[in-house]
Amino acid sequence: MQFFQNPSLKKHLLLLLLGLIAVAWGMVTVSAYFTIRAEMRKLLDTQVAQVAYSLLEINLDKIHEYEAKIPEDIYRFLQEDRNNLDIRYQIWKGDKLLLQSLTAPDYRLDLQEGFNDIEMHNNRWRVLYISVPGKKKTDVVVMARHDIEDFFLHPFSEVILLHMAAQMILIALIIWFAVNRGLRPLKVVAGAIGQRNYNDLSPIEEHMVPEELKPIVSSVNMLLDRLKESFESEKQFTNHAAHELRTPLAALKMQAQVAIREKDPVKQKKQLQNIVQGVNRATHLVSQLLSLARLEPESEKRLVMSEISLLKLTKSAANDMKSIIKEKNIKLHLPDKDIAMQGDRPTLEILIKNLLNNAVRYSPEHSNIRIHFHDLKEHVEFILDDEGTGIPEHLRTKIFERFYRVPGTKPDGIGVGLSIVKKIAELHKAEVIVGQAEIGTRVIVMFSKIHR
Amino acid sequence: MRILLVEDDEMFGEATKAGLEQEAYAVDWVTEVETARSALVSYDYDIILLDLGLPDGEGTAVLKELRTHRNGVPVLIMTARDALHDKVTGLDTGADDYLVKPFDLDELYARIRAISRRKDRTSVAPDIICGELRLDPASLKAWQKNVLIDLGPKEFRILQHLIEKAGKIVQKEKLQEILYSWDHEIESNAIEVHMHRIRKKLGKDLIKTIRGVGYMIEEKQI
Repeated sequence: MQFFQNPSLKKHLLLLLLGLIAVAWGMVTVSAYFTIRAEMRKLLDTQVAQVAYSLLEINLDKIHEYEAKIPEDIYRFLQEDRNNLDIRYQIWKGDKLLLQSLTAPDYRLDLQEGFNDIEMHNNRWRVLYISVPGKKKTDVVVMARHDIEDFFLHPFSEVILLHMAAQMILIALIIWFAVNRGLRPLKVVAGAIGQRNYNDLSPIEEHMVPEELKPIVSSVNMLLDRLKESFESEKQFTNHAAHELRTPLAALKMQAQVAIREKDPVKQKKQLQNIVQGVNRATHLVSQLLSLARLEPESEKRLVMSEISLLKLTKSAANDMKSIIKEKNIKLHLPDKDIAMQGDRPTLEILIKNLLNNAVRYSPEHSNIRIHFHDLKEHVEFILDDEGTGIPEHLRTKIFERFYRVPGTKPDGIGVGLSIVKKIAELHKAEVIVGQAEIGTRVIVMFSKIHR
Repeated sequence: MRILLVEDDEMFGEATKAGLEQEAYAVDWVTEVETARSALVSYDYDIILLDLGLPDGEGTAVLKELRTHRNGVPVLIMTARDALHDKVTGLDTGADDYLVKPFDLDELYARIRAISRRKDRTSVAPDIICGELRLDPASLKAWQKNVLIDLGPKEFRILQHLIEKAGKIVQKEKLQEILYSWDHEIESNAIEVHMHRIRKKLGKDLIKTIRGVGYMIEEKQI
């Protein structure tokens, strides 16, 4: 699960969802609290007002005839009920307190006409003051405990909050479960990717993957495909290389053993000379293979481009092959005019050497090899003509494949020379074209002058 | 014994041919599938040494053709391909043996001897016995009444062939074929010269001359 170690999708989702739910619930709760409180106050006011009107309805002239007696059980009920609205009242006739509830104060409170909020005995009270004008001026005062929230709303809120907390935990569990479940395909995909290794680069099955993961999986599959291809070609290369190295070694061993057994000193000397030649050949193979390996991917970055003289480079390459050119009595014609171009000196020299080597190897004795340079507007062309047998048209692309040898040719090379040429040309953004010369083969290397 | 060597690597082919000739085998060397085919048409070889990767095709193609034509000539594959898959395919196509390059010349000799022993199911012992004669193909040495006889390699091969074909007349041309590959200039009396030397060493009676046809060793001698 390397992918998700930081940051965790699961944690992120859980916190985000829980946070959002908490905020939403908080807002609902606060708004409900205030709405309910406002409603309760209205209710309180209504009740206070009702009591006041009831009192106003009393025929005050007959007040002395009343002898209120509350039945015992109702009195107890009122005493015990915590939610009982503690309503008290006074009725004043002028300055005389005509009627009062038992717990009401016996003095005049400082009140405005209508509803008042006052503080009394450490409690807040809602007080309605109604003054009936006239010669028999009557004042009615009804008061109710204001802080009913303490009795009713707060316990209610507590219960709600407790429920919410419990539900929050439940929801957190549900989210955890859902996220886990939702992320399971991710885990499966990660596991599948984790299982892939050098031996198993098979693509991950895309039909099992959820829509959202498809882009990732298909990119991974593309990567796996490329890896497989490059592993495959690497393996093929190694196999080929091993084969090509083993053959000259086998020949060397065989020749050495034949030489050991040979009794005729003249024959033995010839066999020993063969062995030396064989070592030369094996050395050439190794250096070819090494240069091919060094030119493998990413080597473009290692090229050091500088201004080089094409003629000097060609001369230096030809110099290395002086002996074989002389041995076959081949005449090498070089151009008189030099061309300067941008390139990586060591690899370009290998390119020219390989082309020249091929030309010399496949040229008959006493033939000519001609090299020309063309300085064109957009290109620099390196042209090499030999007088060999030429290459049939249908093989002209095949010869650039690694380890390909034209059928019927003497197998003294391993068939990587031209693929090295092609690789170096590619690194220089140049093109190699094989065609027909007047007699033999013409090879053109086209270097672009426009630098990218 | 005449061997067809199918090998495209010039150095390896040359060395192998030289090595086999040191053991007095006649070796015809071809480098391509096509030339191998024509060589097989023109001559009945005793053993074929076959390389797999040839310039114009796979060596197994030749092998397959041989086996489909019910030709059981022993085939020894000599190749640089050491993968298990290649060995299995080679042997299953009908090869009798599989040698991975590089190998020792002595091993090649031993395998050729082993293959020729197997070809002729009657000769299971490495030594060839004929009356008072005992031949050891591994060392090219021969004994008569347990006394070592100084035979040249070619003389040894003539004697070996005649014993193997005891009771049958072996033509002079056949003896030439088993001793000399097609690139050798053979003097017309070469076989007679060898025969003369053998008789000098072993006595006149062993090998009979069938005038105008060839030579033979009587079956009762064995």
